[in-house]
Amino acid sequence: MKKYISLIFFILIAAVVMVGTKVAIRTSTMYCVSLPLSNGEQEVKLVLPADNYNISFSTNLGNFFIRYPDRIYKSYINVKIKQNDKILFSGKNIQNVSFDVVEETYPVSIYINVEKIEAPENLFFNMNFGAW
Amino acid sequence: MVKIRKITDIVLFVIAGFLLLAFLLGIINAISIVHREYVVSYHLVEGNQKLKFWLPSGNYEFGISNDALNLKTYDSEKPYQSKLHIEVRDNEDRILCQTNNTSIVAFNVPGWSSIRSIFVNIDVEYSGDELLVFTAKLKK
Repeated sequence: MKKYISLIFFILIAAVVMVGTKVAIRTSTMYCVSLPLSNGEQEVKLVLPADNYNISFSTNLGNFFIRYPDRIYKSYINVKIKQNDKILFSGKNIQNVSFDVVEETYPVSIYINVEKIEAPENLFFNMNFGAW
Repeated sequence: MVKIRKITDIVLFVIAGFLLLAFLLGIINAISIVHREYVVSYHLVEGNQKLKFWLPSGNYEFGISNDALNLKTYDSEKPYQSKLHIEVRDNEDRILCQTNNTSIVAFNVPGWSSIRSIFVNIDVEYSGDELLVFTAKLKK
């Protein structure tokens, strides 16, 4: 009986330590960047360790994309992600982009072309780094 | 009865073993993540632009370079043909750093293990054609 109690106790302690470590790592290594986008083509260059990354686009109107999906962009966004001349992603009018960085020796270039037909909202480029 | 005990023993030991393994793998992964460095370079345009960061506590250095030269210039009298004003504020609107016409901004995100939203306000007043690049190295 004693053996079971000590084993269960060990499992509980290990679980608590794991959760605690995860929270500590998350709060000490979580970076997030939000950059305003302007009209025309712009390049965001990134030097990243190999991992899977996600980019999202938002507006100053908060949840605008979700509330008004048919009005996502009065502006048009073309996104092209390149690493060492290899296209990792290419798409038009997307809200989220996921891409994998395999070769960490080469910087990743993200070309964003914003074509504003009207100017109802400011567009932002958002990216998270670290232990998410 | 003895058989059930044995099975319970094995199950518990397997769970404990998995947890221990997951914990060790987590620690190894954490060490590699903590030492990671991310670099973000962004072309600045004319006018005022507000960049937003969420950063854990630590010391940071953001820089501005001339893309044409791809070099930071340390000429304090005329670092760029453009005039630059950089202001770093935290989420409580406290000014962490404020500079004029410098190529490097160093600031500290206070706290022990908190994440703060940091606003970088950059004013670019062009008088030339050069491209200015804002570079943020994200590493504690």
